[in-house]
Amino acid sequence: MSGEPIISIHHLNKKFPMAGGNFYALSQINLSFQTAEFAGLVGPSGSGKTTLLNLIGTLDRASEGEIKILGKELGQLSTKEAAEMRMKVLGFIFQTHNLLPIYTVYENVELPLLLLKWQASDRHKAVMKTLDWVGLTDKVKSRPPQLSGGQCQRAAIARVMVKGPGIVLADEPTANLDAENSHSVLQTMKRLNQELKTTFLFSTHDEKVIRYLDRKITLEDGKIIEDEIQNK
Amino acid sequence: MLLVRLAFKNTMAAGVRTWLNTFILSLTFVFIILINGIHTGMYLQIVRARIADELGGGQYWHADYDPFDPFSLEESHAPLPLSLQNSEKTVPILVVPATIYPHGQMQSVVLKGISPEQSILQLPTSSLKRSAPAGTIPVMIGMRMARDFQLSEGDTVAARWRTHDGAFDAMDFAIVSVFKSDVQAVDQGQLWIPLENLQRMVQTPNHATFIVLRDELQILPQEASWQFHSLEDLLADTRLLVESKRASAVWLYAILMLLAMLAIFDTQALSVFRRHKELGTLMALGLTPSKVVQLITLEGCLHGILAAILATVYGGPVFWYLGAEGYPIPVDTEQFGLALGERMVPVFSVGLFAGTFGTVMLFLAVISYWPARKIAKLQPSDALRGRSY
Ligand SMILES: Nc1ncnc2c1ncn2[C@@H]1O[C@H](COP(=O)(O)OP(=O)(O)OP(=O)(O)O)[C@@H](O)[C@H]1O
Ligand SMILES: [Mg+2]
Repeated sequence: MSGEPIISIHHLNKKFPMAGGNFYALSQINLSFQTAEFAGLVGPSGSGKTTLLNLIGTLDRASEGEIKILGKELGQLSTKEAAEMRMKVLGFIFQTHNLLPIYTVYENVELPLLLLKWQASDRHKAVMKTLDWVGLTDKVKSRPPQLSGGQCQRAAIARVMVKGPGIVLADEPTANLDAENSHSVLQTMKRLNQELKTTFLFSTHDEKVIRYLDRKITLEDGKIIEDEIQNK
Repeated sequence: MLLVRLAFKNTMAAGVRTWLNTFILSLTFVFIILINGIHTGMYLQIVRARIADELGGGQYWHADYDPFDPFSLEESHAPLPLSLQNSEKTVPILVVPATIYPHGQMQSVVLKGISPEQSILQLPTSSLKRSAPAGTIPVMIGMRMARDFQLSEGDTVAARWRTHDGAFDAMDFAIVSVFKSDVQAVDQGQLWIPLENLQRMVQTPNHATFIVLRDELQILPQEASWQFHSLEDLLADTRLLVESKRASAVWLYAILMLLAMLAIFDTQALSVFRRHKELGTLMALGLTPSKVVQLITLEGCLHGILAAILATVYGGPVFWYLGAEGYPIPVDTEQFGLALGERMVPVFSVGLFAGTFGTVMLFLAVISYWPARKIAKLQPSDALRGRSY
């Protein structure tokens, strides 16, 4: 691995105001990620994993320090620029699938492309290709309530992958899945990582997920206590 | 455009709730338009009738003339000024207080002298040319007057009045015709007499109390003792009356509007509260928080557009029918003191439709925006977690 990191984090603090002072959910985080990494944040509940993913994903703002994505300092971005960053560069997978329940699988997956103002024919091609990838071509017209948990999570992955984001942030993506579905979802993501050079950053407790990671970063009380390469 | 699409889809997906809100809102539209249309129609109808039978195109009044003060009537007439002597363009009218004795009762009335030849007012004054029995003076009265005093065509009634120098004089009147007018002010408590007869009766040749003009545009020179009253002045009381009726109807649609707005406010607040995860997801997909606020606001406003469509579907035919045919008015309506015909034809203007739609949409926009406005200040992570609304 070499060159400019796709994500770099320096002296990052995140504090939340609390009765009688501030609570530091993250303190002095320094990290960088190269393109096409398949990395994960692990650690006990409340250690700050979600908080860190939210900061990298411009869903929240850092208290101190800086985060750069593709050389852009997130703290300098306006609300609009941050939204644009999420639209074009970032993809989110949540613990719950967060699909829009009244939209079909097809429409859910198409939504990011509508936001990006793609042409109708390009949209159709990309949506069908992505649904094929995650194995949901037969569920195009189904709505999320009609799908299983694993199918929903795969649709959510399709919604992220359809626009080919540079970075995917996945917060406990397998927490609601059984073992079999977890593996199929992880294999899908691993394949995308290898074929499209998409950078993946997970947060997880799940041993099954941890086994797939190339790099495991352990957080405790808002600090990095271990950062190790595995599977190499 | 994407926002409109999303908003439309979300609104439709809300199903019964949307249609309930839309229905209440459409009722509001229909009622506001109907009631305002009726008031406008009422106003125009009265104005038309008053111009035709009472006001002409404006009037000159003797400076002392006060139609509401019967005691001043004896003093408030003067010789017709030269500049207003034009039988083509003016109708002089002399007003004289008198007492009549129908069926043995004594009643105060006013006598109005008018030329039987006049054509400016639509009163059938030519009927005053009909021959009356010897020793009587021909008079015509309105239907209300005939009803109130149980008089009819062919009857005679004794009358007494004062001449110019204060002496009493008396004579019999023969009712040569009973006319129908929607305007009470030319009917109740008065008898119409050929002008020259009346002038002779009170010994004031060539006197008049007020002068009706054919049209307002042609204003004659101002005379010190004759004051010009434009149609606008003369109609001020009618306008005031109709406007006060219009205003007193406001509570009706205020209640409907309140109901509709409450229902929609509730929907909006619930939607912001219940859909926080969906809204957070939209932000994660790249919508700015303010775009999400726009989306919610748009969803609320869509109710207005749907309601307008619904109102057109069931209100349109009603408006169309009423605007063309009108509806019969119960006889009691006369008690309002308004000159209404037998049918009331509401008038619906483009301005009324546009104004109602615009006003409702304005309220709706505020009501829709209000519960959503706080989202704009949220971090997307807060929305995703559903905190701190
Ligand atoms: N908006 C907030 N306001 C106050 N405290 C917060 C807020 N968000 C997170 N925290 C606190 O920051 C700490 C880290 O939270 P975070 O959600 O990042 O933990 P986590 O590692 O993702 O935990 P889990 O594995 O349970 O998801 C927790 O103590 C939490 O209570
Ligand atoms: Mg977490």
